[in-house]
Amino acid sequence: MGMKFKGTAIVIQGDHVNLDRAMSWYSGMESLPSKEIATKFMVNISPDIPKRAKKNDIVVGGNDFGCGKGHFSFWIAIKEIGIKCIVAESCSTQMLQNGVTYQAYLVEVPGILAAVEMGDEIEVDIESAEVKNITRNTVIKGQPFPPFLLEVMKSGGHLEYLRKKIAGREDTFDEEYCKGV
Amino acid sequence: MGQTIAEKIIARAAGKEAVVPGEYVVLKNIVGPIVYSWKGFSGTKHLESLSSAVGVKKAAKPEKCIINGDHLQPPLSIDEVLQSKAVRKQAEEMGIKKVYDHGEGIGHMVNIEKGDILPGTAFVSFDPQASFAGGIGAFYTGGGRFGSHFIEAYALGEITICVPGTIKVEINGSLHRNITSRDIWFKVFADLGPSAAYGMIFEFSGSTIDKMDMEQRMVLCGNTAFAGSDGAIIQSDEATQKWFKDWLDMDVDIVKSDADASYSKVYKYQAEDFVSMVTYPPDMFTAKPASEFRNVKISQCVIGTCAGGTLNDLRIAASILKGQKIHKDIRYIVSPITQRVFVQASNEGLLSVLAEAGAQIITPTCDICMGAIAPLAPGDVSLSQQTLNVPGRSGSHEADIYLASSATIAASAITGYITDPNIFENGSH
Repeated sequence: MGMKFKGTAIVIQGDHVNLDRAMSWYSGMESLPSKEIATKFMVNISPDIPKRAKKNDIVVGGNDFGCGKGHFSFWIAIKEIGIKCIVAESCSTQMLQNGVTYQAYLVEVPGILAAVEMGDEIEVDIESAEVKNITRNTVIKGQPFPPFLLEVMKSGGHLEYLRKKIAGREDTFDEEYCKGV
Repeated sequence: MGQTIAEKIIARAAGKEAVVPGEYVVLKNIVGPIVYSWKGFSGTKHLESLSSAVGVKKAAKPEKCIINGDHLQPPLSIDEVLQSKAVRKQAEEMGIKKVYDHGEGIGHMVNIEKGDILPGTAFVSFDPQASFAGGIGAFYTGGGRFGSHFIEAYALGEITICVPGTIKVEINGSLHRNITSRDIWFKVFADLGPSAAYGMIFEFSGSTIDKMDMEQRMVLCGNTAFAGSDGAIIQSDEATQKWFKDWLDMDVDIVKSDADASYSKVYKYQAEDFVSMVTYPPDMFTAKPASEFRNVKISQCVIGTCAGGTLNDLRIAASILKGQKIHKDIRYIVSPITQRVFVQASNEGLLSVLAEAGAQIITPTCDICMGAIAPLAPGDVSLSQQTLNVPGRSGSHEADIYLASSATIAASAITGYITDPNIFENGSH
């Protein structure tokens, strides 16, 4: 499948944004129903965000987006809302690893915060790292992730990628046991 | 072309002559994966869920897998007892024999003490803080920023990684006796910031490192993931060989970087310039000299966790607290990092010194970091050796956690305020 996304930008300003703090995370939060976790989506950034967030929106972040330790509530929330794509000036290592595991599509585009405002309609190409701001009629380009990660994202994330890789090896794949992702 | 320590270990584990940063390789000869559990989260169930998602019923090499049981120690509820029992049972069903849940201590150190992780080896853990074992010259990976998911190590017994570049941090000279790895890391981290090391590992070197206590080398390597790195490493040298011989009666290899090895970046520090540092909340990458926090009143002190509780930390604490009394408004908790350290500290009389000063000595455990034991109430201010200071980490979101070294914590426990231990020892605050 192609890795192009079109949607409304949810812009999170600032560098080193910690996802736990943005979500008002607490120990035990992951055991709440997904719908309830979604109501806390980036609520500490602005209480407006969980109200406006909708399917196919695109999250736009700053440098070192997802800095520090982040638990899984963020990923549960975006899945519930129907958000798949994240564009940032740069992604923290943990955000990138978790994002690719939780079937999100990520790309780094330096300068993105100056190029996009909250509510803009944008189009993101993960493979070319090009972002079109349809509202403002501008284009900005970043640096795509290595081919290996693009391949993994295209497969549907780390676990799907491994499932397909293992399925190709008859001696290890257990079809009956495989519950898929 | 010279190779760094990490490049040598990666090459060997991947069956290659040499590797370069940015290259993708498959590590086939690895220890792990290593996982653990905490309240409400089972490490074995996590392995089961991930492995079923990728379509394998059991580990490719169960003899390489390790289940640490360093949380829930001791268990604080019937549920926790049952959880630990369930993990043990499931590990047995999975054919995993290396299960360390009998109070041995914090897994990152225990895995070294048991001889599972050795100098020159590559290992996989799902916890970035496992880079702790980089201190003995072992290469940690969790897949890395640009590599695979750790479950590949379980499902296939191998893992795909992108060879990281190495950032060299060279420290030369002699540290003041109250300055430890935590002070060094806080300063380096504050200088470099949390996005300094994407896709890279740290290599600490220099005469200061050559002379550094082995456990302090481990602590120095343990928290580098917060700078966005894939891991950290220190050479295995004659000091490493001596430590393994003295403590474990084992002979280990020397692994050092070649003189002409290539580094992505090099930072140099003079040991004498390091002062006692404190990391202040809510972020991990903000630290200042301890002397700037002299007006911060504290209510709890923690010596312990995988960033502390080492023999060196306990010796320093005891030397400052000997004959002194801990402030009446402070809970001072001591959790040696492993049973081995607990026993040695006891043999040296350190635990009696600390207890006489008013310290509360508890078992080696991760739970002290997570607030499962001695949690913080609203308004509490903790001065701790723990790894994370994010609000809510150890209890209330309205409590503050400051991170510091053993010496700073000991001096502060006496005065009741965050105190630079050198200033304290010179008779003023």
